[in-house]
Amino acid sequence: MTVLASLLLADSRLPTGGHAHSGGVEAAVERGLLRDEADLALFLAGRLLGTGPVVAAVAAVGCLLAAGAAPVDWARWDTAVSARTPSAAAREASRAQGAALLRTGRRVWPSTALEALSRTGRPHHPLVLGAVVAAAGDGAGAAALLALHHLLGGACAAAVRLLGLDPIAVAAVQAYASRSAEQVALGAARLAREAVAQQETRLLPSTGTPLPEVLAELHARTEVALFAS
Amino acid sequence: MPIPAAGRRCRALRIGVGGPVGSGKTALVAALCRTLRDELSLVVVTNDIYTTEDADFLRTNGVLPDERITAVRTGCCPHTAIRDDITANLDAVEELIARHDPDLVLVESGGDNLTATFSYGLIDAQIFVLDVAGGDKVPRKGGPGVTRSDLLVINKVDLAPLVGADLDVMRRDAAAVRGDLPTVLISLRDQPDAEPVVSWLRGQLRRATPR
Amino acid sequence: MKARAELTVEDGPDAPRLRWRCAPPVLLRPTGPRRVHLVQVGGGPLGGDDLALDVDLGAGSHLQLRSAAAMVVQPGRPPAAARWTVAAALASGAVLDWQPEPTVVCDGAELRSRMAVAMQRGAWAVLREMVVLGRAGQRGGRYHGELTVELDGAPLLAHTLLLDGADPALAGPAGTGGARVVGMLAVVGAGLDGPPEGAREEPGLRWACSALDGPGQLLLALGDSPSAVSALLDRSAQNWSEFRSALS
Repeated sequence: MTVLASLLLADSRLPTGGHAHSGGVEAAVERGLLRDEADLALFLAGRLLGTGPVVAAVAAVGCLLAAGAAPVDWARWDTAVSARTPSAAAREASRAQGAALLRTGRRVWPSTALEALSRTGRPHHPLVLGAVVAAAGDGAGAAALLALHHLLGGACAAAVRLLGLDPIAVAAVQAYASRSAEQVALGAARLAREAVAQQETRLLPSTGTPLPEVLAELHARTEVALFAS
Repeated sequence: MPIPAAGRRCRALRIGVGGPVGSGKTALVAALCRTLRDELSLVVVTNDIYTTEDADFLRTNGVLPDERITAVRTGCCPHTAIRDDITANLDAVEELIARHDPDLVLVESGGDNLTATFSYGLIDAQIFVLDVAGGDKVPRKGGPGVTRSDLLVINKVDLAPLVGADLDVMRRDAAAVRGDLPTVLISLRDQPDAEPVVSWLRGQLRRATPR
Repeated sequence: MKARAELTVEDGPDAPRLRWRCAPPVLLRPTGPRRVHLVQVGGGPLGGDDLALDVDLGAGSHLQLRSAAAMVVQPGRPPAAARWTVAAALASGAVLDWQPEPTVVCDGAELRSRMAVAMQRGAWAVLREMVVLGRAGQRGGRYHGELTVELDGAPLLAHTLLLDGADPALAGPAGTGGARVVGMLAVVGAGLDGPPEGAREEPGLRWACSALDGPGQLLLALGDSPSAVSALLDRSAQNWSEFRSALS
């Protein structure tokens, strides 16, 4: 049952607002920086190195905190995510997707942890994802994997829509990237466990790459855009 | 199993306005706003495909104050945003409700094809807008927007003679596929107050929970 | 080689009081009443070096920290990362203006740089970093640059910039997009809760200045040439300096 609940969370048909976000793909496509499947493969690899460890670790933290017995200072962890997201546009995209997922999560898997999390305002997406994974009955490892699955899947879906890429070729690109995502998720979940055990946000990864941050800001100022981010 | 309730906390009536590209959705929304804004508190959510153009149209025409209009981006998928994954629209609707406590929320979809309809998780009733220039066969062809929308609006009837559309055929075909559901034929150019639609809308407002 | 230098500034009645302890190859030279230059003797760090600088700014003290030359990071034998760590503590009212010369990471080299700034409310900091991937004709080595800013103990910025001219993913469309030069200018302090901010693209240069989730902004720039990025950072630093003067 837990496996199927997690699969539901991995399914892009679960209404969580993800379809309106391209994960930075639209801005890269607009500038001719991403043109074909090979570029997409590089894009995914770059995202997995940059923001990948952060979203995976934060999702794992959200899961561990939500599943724990102790009361949680969600705002403190949310602040740590904000500090790791220097682009205001990227923070807004994360908060908008977090709000959408939290709305769905609260109705599908009602839990006291999700109610407590919703009282912190508009928490960041990976933190919500982790808490929803806990509410659905799965663990931190699954949360980290799901965060990366959505990082990859959102970019791939947008690339197909924007460039008319061969969806089968894109599936192959995502499957290939998913292999390295597994390693990233393992490392991130390890750091998350350490951070939660010590109640120390400094232990969370803070890696990033520069182009997506700059493009996120440029995209937010674009008049003509199909995707919210 | 217990089905989770939509958790509506407010009394605002939510109306979806859908239909193909260019059929006059934005013009209808603008007309409804102009006619009703003095008696009702109104807010509008637009779902443009590319831009915030529809929202900008409503703003620049002074139809409603800026803060009562929100544009939602749909990531190339206007039908997804109103049917399969309504969360971005729900966020926009609920934020407007929290800010303005309106009587009426109009959600305008991005222009799409005949299969696009609203989820009733997002709206209470929906209007589907066609125009005669799209061809008088469209009502017969059906599709969920034509067959199941709560109100079918056939717009631009003033163009019928110019495009060779037979209004009687359209009226008859619509009645055949829609059963008891109402259909109105109008020209927003000749009837800028959208009276037939407004009168249907008043009926919806009366049926909704009284304030 | 392992070395840790220290620098303390206290606000004095007439001029600030500077105290420092050099640790070769990290040398410090006061070049003005409120200015200190960092001099790294014997060229830049080599792979395996572990160099550090601790800076402590007392309440109300001001410090301009500069460097005499670019930090050129060369590969060592056996291959290992060079480490460069700056830790700064700013008491209330302190102002740190940290604008060193660029860091050049040569082919085959790896730098792990860390800048940790702990500020009390009322302090102000301008933190600049410009990384050039390789000397002319090189694609450049690996850079792992962690920048953390905490305000009264709460994280405001925690960002580890990953660059590697030899890694197609990090040089690709979600890395640098082929840009050879990356510049950052973080400005943190009271009065910085809103604009100015912005983003622009021109041939050979892309940048965005974004508000942080708190009193600060981060300018990130990607460029083809060091001079274009450097000029942008100079201009921005100058604007901030005028902005701060106008505040006080």
